[in-house]
Amino acid sequence: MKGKILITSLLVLVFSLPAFAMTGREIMEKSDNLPEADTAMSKMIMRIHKGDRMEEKAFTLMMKQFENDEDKGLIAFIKPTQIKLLSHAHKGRDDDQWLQLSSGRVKRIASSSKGKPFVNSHFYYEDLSSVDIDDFEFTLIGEDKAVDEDCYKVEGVKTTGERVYDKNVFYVRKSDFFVVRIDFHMDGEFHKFLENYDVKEIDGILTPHRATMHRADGNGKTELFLGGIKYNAQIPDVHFEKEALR
Amino acid sequence: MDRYITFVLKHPVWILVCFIGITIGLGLGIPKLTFDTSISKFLPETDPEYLYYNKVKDVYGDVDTFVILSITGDPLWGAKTFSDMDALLTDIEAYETYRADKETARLAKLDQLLAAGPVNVADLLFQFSDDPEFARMISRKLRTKGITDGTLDSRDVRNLKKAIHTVNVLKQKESIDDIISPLDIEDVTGQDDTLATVRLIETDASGKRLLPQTPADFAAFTRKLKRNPAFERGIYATDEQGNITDFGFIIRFKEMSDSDSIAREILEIVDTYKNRLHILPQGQPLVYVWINNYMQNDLARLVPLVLLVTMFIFFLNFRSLRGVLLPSATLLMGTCWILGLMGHLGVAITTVGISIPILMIAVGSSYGIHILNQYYADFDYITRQGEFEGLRHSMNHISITVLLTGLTTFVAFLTLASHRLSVIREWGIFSAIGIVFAVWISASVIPAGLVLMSHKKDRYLLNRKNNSSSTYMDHFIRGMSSLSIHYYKPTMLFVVLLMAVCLVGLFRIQVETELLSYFRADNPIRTSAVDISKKFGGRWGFNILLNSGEPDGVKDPEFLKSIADLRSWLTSSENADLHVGRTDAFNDHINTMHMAMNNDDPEFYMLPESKWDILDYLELFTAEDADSDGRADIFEPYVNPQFQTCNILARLCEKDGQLIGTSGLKHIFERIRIQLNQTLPPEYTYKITGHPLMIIKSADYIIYGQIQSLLLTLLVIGIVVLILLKNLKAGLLALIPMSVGVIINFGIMGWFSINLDIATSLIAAITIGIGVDDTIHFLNTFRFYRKSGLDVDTAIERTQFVAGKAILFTSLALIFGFSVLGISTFKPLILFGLLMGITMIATTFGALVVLPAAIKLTGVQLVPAVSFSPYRRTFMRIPLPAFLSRNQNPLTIESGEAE
Repeated sequence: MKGKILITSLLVLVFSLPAFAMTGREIMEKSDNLPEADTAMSKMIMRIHKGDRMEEKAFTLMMKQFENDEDKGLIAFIKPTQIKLLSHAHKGRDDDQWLQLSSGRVKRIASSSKGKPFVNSHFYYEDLSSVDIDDFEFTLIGEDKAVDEDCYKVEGVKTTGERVYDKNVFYVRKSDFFVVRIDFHMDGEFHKFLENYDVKEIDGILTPHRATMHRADGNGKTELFLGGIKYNAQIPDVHFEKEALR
Repeated sequence: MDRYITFVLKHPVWILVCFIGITIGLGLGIPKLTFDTSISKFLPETDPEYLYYNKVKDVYGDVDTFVILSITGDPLWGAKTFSDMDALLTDIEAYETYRADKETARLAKLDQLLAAGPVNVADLLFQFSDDPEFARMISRKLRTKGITDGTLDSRDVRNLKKAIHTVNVLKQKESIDDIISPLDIEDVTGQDDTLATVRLIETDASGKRLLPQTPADFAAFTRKLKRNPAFERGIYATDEQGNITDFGFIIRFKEMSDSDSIAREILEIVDTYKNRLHILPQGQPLVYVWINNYMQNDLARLVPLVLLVTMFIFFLNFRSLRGVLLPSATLLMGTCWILGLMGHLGVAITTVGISIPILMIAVGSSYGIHILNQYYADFDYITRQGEFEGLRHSMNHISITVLLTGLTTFVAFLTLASHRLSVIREWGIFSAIGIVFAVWISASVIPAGLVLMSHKKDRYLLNRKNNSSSTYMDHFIRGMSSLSIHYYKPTMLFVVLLMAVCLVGLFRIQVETELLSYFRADNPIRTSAVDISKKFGGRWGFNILLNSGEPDGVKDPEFLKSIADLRSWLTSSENADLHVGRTDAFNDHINTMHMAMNNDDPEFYMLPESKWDILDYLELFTAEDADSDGRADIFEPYVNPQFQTCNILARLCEKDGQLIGTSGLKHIFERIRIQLNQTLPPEYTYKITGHPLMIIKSADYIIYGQIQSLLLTLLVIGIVVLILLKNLKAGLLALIPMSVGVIINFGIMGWFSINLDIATSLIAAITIGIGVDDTIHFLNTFRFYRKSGLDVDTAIERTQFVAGKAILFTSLALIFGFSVLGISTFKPLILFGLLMGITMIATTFGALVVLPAAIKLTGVQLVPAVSFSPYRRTFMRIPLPAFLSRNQNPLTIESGEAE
């Protein structure tokens, strides 16, 4: 649905700068300043583990950056349905989203679900949004290991816009400022955490090939497997037009 | 026994100190007593269907039982009404999700304010003006203590802290699973080609509900409500013209069996809004609370009255201070012991167990009367033998009899320990232990008290002995003698006819475990059930589980169509006898999404034809899955995590003010089963479960337990009497008075339409347990007289006069003791008390008239003599009436020579 967001949340640039006496804000700026692709294409497998069941979903994802810092993304499900979700992310206002059902019918979706699960997974729509660091106040709260990497721990509290979480704790890899883990706190409790694995460089862009959102209570997780990633490929704008859904 | 009695008489002070010590020690357990009013106690916990029901609840939640609040205001569409409803909902929501940080801060602030010195109620509430929910809670708790204004003293502060702490503990339990109300419900809409999940009442960033204020707001809200057909009779009710008249709050609990505290809290909250909103609360958890309130209030009022009545019977019998004080002391001790033991053991008193104190008083009094009767009967013998030696003989003999009668009562009650319903099982076990206590205390405290008191015959008994004129009691006994000796054939004919009539009545008995049947038809609890049924389609329900046969089979339109067809059939007018007022199912969500996908066109409130549409809708339906079990929380009551089985919730409604009743429930489920067997495609399977089915199960277990308990008790008591009297015929004869009592009880129940329920089902066991005492006393004395050489008629006459008098007085104590319950305001207690009174009359009649008449009729010989006889030394010393002492005094046996 928010293709760009999904990708960007998993992307980190590879600048390795000395970080002595940096503030939380400065660390997050470095992470935010990592280069990103103009377009991205990927195939994704989503495995949702809930109870004693595992449900697998598959979709392709395309995203493209447009002028004015606006992004458009298209998620086309292959399994279990053939829904397509088109998203236009705007800076400073709500996203536009359209839905094409398997039957071909198209509906606009109101953007009021940031705190709701994305296709019944452990990801919320909010998790898939790109992080605008200007919306947050950051505090460096220490250093810790995450995904076997030495990291800065930066607490971020959203101060602008709709707030789904009380706070997030970002684990920023010291070596390259890549965010390898995010803790999500909600309703006064540690709610869930995202970990990025198999981080590899593709076309100069660090890209995790697997990401898992775990519930903090251990009661379920959603795994994302990324494959066939292509950055900066030529994707015609027409793919992101609402009319293309019909 | 002799050695124990000797010990008691040698160390009376020690015995009394010891028993008082035990009373204090066990009595300390009384404050620890708790009331367990949980519903599970009434349900067959080990039954496979009950276990399945619990499994279903694990999967779908406790959804078939709920609290429903029907709310209206004057005017309904007014900002104040909505504001009050919002406050009411907020107060209840506090028990749904516990916010530790918020509550801790509140408590800290409260503690600080209360510790700062004397605090005024208004000032205290003002301090929480920024936290109105907590302020309302403080105000509510103070009001329950009768405090509305003024300055709180230290006791008030202590009580308030305790109440707030209790509430905090309850909040931590998060007892409420879900609240469905018009103020927080969400809907899916698809107007203007835009799909959106919306709250009917939006909230601001802080979560505060933005309530409608203007006529335009209310009109918009009404449109939103009416847009989704699933909301009608769910969260609002309408009049015949379709105008919304009431709003409905449905409150589901996480664990229905542990709902008492939260149900009471909800009632307390509702009560605080009674001047602002018209609220009709209903639902099975509340019915249990109301029943328990009735029981507890009435018993707290009636137990002292039972004690007074019993003491009056003591006074009538003995007319002396010792004759009242000694047995009364044993009753109080026995009651303290059993209640204290339960308190120490952490065994809570159940709704049925609450009758144990009355039972202890009633049964324990008979032991006291027999022992004291023996003392007065043996008075001359004791005088002659010396106080110690005379008392030793006298008390030894009667204590053995009391022990044996206690043993049979113990056995009768203990047979209930195998009952499948734990509420009856526990009652049986602790009543049996109570009997042991009562026997031990009576056989110890009364002899010890007697040896410490001066040995003198009280004036009344002395006068009675010297007065040869007959008393009313003598006349009565003489009448019974005449019936059983001279008119034994007509008497037996009458009894046989009476038994035949009662047996016919027995087959008319209805088993009823529907709790509302405990209340009169005009009781507000019943009338509100009818009102709720009319408005919201029912106050409780059951589950029909349809299994598609494969994972994700629920997503097949064909399967969902089967559900739709079944729901239509359940609520169709031609099936009004099913009493289904409303159904809820997974289909409602699919229908709603389909309508939303079609621009909210009501024509599309139906199942889509394509499976792809259903799959798409489920993929897009963004709702929280808090427990991560694979289903959106909102689907949990309706579909299992594998999407293989659907749960259809059917609400049962009381139509035209008529209760459905246990037999009505059976009819409903039988019809549904037949329908499903005939119409459900073979690849699908079904199961029906729910609280109403458990009520049917309980009824089955009551019948089964009744038959089992009766047969087992009669068998065991027959064997016990056989062993005691060493005579098979005596063993069989012993069953006559009890059987007469039990059959008359059932006959009265059948002919007077008194239902067999949990309370009345205990009567048979009590009847047998107590009735056997009279029989043993009668047979023992009779056999002794026969052995002494008296002919049958004379032996019966003497037995009736000697043993019969004690039996009559103990029966009077029991009859009047139980009859006190007749002034209760609660139907089950009234019926229980009156039936017990009638049954005690029947067992006394059985022992004193039917038993001797049967002896006459059969000519049975009840020899040889037994090794114990309470009266073997004493009969000559009973103040005999003139007709006996003048003409029939052939015996020359001296006291102590009968052996």
